[in-house]
Amino acid sequence: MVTPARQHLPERTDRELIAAAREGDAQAFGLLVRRHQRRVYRLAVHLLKSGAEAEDVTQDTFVRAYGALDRFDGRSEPFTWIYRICVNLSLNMLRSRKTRRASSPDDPRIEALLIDNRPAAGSPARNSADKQLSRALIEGIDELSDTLRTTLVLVCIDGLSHAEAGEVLGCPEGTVAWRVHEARKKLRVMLSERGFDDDDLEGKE
Amino acid sequence: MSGPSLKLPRGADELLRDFPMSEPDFEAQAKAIEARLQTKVGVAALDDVLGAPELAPEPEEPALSSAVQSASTPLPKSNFAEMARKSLQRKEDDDSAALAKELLAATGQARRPDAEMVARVRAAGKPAPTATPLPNGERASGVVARIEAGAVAAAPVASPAPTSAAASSKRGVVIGLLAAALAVAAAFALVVRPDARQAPAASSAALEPRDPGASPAHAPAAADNARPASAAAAQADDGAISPEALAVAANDSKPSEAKNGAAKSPSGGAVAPSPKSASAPLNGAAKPEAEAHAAASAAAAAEPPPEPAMKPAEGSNDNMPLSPSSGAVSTALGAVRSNAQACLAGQTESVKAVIIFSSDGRVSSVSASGPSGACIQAALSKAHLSPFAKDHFSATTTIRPP
Repeated sequence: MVTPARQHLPERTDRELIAAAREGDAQAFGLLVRRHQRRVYRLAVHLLKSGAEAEDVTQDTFVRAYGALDRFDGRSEPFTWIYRICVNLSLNMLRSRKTRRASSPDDPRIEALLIDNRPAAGSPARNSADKQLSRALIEGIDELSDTLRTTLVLVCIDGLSHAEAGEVLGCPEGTVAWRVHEARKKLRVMLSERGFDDDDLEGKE
Repeated sequence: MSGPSLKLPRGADELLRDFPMSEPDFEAQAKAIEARLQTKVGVAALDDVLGAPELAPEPEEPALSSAVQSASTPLPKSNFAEMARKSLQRKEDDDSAALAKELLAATGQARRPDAEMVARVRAAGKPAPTATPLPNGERASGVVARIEAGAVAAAPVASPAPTSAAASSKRGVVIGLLAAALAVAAAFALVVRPDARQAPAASSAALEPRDPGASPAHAPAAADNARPASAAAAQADDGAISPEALAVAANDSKPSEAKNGAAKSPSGGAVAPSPKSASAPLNGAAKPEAEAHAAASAAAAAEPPPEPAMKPAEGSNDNMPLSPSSGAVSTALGAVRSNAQACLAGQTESVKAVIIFSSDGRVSSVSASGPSGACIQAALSKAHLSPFAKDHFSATTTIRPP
């Protein structure tokens, strides 16, 4: 429960935390870690399809970011800078794998499907359909190229704007928009092949 | 988040936004990260992850990068626009300001100046702009070598030179423009070069015509604006400047400069010789070479010693970083770490130390707790960094027992 005193404490911005960390305030960086580690981890999971590797990448992301604090020039938002490090580390890990695997035994997304204990919002039939859709989405996302998958995850899953995703990926907003459209198009085809056809579409194009 | 560009089956977007995923104990992970923060990270390892991710473009991906890049770095406008802009900046109250505004407007609208404007520009000693589309090379260089024959013919020829044919006028304009480019380059060098004492030499070297017979007919607008008022007055009668008028103008330039502080500016002082030396041979086709040189020398002798174009701030050093790099700090601490570790011989607990470096790179204070704190402080105080710009820089390190 949040106490009234805590409620009135002004929350330091990412930039303020970075500035404090630069001055040697490790606690400030710890706050930054706690603020962003979940999103970084989820991003890494979608890119790596492995919980253990995603945890490693998440740790490495913040360790590298801390080591490079002096090189953060402030032109971008701290979280897009951290995301970029995470994407680079994830891609490096993907490329270091000897074989490209479709799925991993410790894929947290699959685990969630098996042990999903969230309160059921609808009927059992609906929950079952959602799980099937989740599985189809996972397969569809994993079939995308690294380029499309990374862009889709940043924009459609993590909720970054095209401009923010462009900052992370170092490409123009137009390219991000094109990739998102292309990824969703391919995802739709893949979902259609798995039985989620146009009858289930939300609204009209 | 940007709106979805293509509809997915019902419920898919909701799932994407809140993807079910088993998660680790983030608090434990955060503590693990904090424990690793003192790990040395090589510069190469940082370079590897700080750049834009290397993602291969999709096969049909439109190449927007180059389009965006070209859009973000627009082609420079014609040199006349730049000249007019400089003219406006430097001499708002000059007689030529109105003309410069017109020039700027014309070039801004990419319209062809009318015959009257061409005539006025010529009378003021500036080359007339043209709205004729130019090849890229010409546009980039800023030198416009093509003027519509019609415009030239329509313009009254202000030059007192005996040749009044269009071809001769065209040749003169081309030569003038070349000299203008030289003068602008020299002015630019004067403004940019930090060492002001070398500037006049560079300027005069750049501006000195090698062949007075082929010397320019026009001075650039920027140089023109820096010319003393008397020189402009001397030119006003016939649109050309004679060496005699220049000599008078040079003598008159001191009071003029005293009135106008801008004329004493580094750029003004540096650019001022250009119209004189460049326009001294304006009538050079009809005047003896020695006379032209004498006029140029007189003008140069009358010039006050130019002040430095840009005086660097005292004590500033371009090579000095704002703060030391993490690599430099790691190296500095690494050099004294073994001595500090020796203080913890026989102990099991690590000690956290905070070292504060002053801007000269020396350690100004060390804080370390525990029974071996004083020993660790003494060991770490011998660390040394290269000087940096900030007042101080603090670094935290953990000393573990050997």
